[in-house]
Amino acid sequence: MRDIVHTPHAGASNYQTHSASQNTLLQRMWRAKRYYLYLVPIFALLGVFSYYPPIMALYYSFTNFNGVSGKFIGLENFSDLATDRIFRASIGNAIKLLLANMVTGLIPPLLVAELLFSLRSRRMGDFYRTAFLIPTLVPAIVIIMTWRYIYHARYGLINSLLSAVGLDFLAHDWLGSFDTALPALIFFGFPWINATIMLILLAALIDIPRELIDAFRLDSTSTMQRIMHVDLPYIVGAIRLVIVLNIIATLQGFNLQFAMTGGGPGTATTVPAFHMFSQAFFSSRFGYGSAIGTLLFLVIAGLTVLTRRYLRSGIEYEA
Amino acid sequence: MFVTVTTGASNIRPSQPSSIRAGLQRLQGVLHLILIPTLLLSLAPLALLLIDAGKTTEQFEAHPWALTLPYHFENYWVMAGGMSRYIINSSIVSGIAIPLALALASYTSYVFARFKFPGKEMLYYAIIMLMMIPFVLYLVPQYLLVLSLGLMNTRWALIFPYAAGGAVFGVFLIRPFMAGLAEELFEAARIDGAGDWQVFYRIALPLCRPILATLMIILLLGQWNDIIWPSVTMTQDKLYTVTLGIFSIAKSVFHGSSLGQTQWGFMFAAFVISSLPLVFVFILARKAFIQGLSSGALKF
Repeated sequence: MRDIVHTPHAGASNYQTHSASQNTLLQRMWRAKRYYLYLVPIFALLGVFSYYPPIMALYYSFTNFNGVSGKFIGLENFSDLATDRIFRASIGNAIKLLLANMVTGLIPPLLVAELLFSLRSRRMGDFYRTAFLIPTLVPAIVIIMTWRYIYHARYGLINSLLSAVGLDFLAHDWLGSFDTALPALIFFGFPWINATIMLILLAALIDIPRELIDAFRLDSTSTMQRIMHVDLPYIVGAIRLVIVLNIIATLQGFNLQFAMTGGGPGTATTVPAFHMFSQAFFSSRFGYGSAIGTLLFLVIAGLTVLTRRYLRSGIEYEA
Repeated sequence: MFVTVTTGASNIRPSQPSSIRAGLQRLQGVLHLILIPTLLLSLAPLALLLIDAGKTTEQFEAHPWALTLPYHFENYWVMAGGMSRYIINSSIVSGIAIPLALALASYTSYVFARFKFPGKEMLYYAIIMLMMIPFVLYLVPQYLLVLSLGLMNTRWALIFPYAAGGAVFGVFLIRPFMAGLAEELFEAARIDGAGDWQVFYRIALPLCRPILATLMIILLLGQWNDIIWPSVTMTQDKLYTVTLGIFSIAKSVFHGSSLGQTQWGFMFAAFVISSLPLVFVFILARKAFIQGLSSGALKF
């Protein structure tokens, strides 16, 4: 007990400013030395693998480092990006994917969450919840490869179904054609019930005070109205979180490009993150890749802040 | 906070309960009508896996997507050997990285939650801040770092970054939990003469088990599903994680190389096998699993 450094006005900021107490900051730090010692292991690991890499990423952004050597070239990487045809195409694709994922990444899970929330039977609710998260137990790569097979030109499920109902002429090499590859990536995962997102939204719905819901029910207001006036305003925080998660996942993810399309055909499905990856790892342009990474980091940070600021809770406003 | 929303809710009409109940009953039926097809569609790709895993080449060529009999269970045996090596590789990586992350995160959280010292909050935020940096910014420099440390094609190339990332998220998750534990317990232990380490090990750690289980699941899912990072650091088949193993099997089937163009049944059998470990974990720790899934979002 006596080892705990007691200050009458505990709080981090008080330590930095001059001390009203009789001890100097250094004395207090010396007395607390073993707490700093306790923190050495984590900071040693983080120092190497968490602090150093992003700092180096910023540095590499201004060099033409190719894995062996490189020199400082100022903003050249960034000005090259402005005229990079593939990069420009990748931005267009990213915007399309972002808009599509805004819908597919939020609406279906929200709908299922609302349905589960309205279920009376606890047992059925439990059953559905468990059943919907079964796909999470399968490695992501397996899901991706299965969809690649579903889209397969010769054996694919979609083409098989089409020919089974006599619509052979619609059969298509879905991932191999320029005009259908990006839509195919958007359709991937249909019906888009992401268990994580569904569980977040469901947890938020369950948090709504019971009396509020019951009052609306007894008032025989329609369920739709309840959803619009109680549920949605109440879970705006969770929705905002889901949107931020979707933005981040869409902008930095490229598993589908990596394992399904390779960004092609041509530039049909490439995204900035995949362009970064291929520039760095296929062309050894690590400096250039880092520049793309830095840009993506700034965009993600900016969008996160914007979402937080402009998508505020209706409840917060009214209070 | 939400008072305004409740206005008008107080004048409950008591004469309506029976019609409401009838309405709700009808509504319940509609719910299932929407939920069941949605669920079936979500699970359809998995059913497809199971159906196709039991096919011979001829069966697959003739009916690529319908169930064909007899179902060839031996396909699983053919793939079991190769897959078990990948599963062992992934297990070794997670088996070191996750305990390391849990140990670092829990002890650090204990220090942050139970002691006071100058600069504590600053150090805490220096750790938490790292969660704001997206993976894309790490990929290139971390690869170059691993390369220069000579860790390429060693398991440490996966273990260290996974442990570091896990420790950061762990501190974020565990510190509030640790701070919420009753001070009396700690005080009693200290009066009994227990040192910092003993208090942590005997009192704090056992109490933190639920949150540690949750964290374990989150990290396990992340590592198990990671595609990009292992693919740049592991280039030898003997080190492949489950994801990389699956990817190389699938690539050779899709592009018709080593395994032969027509071994689709084997590929799907491998897919099914790769899912078993997490199914097993789920059965063992269902509650922690669900909690882990939903609190994975706390990251942001």
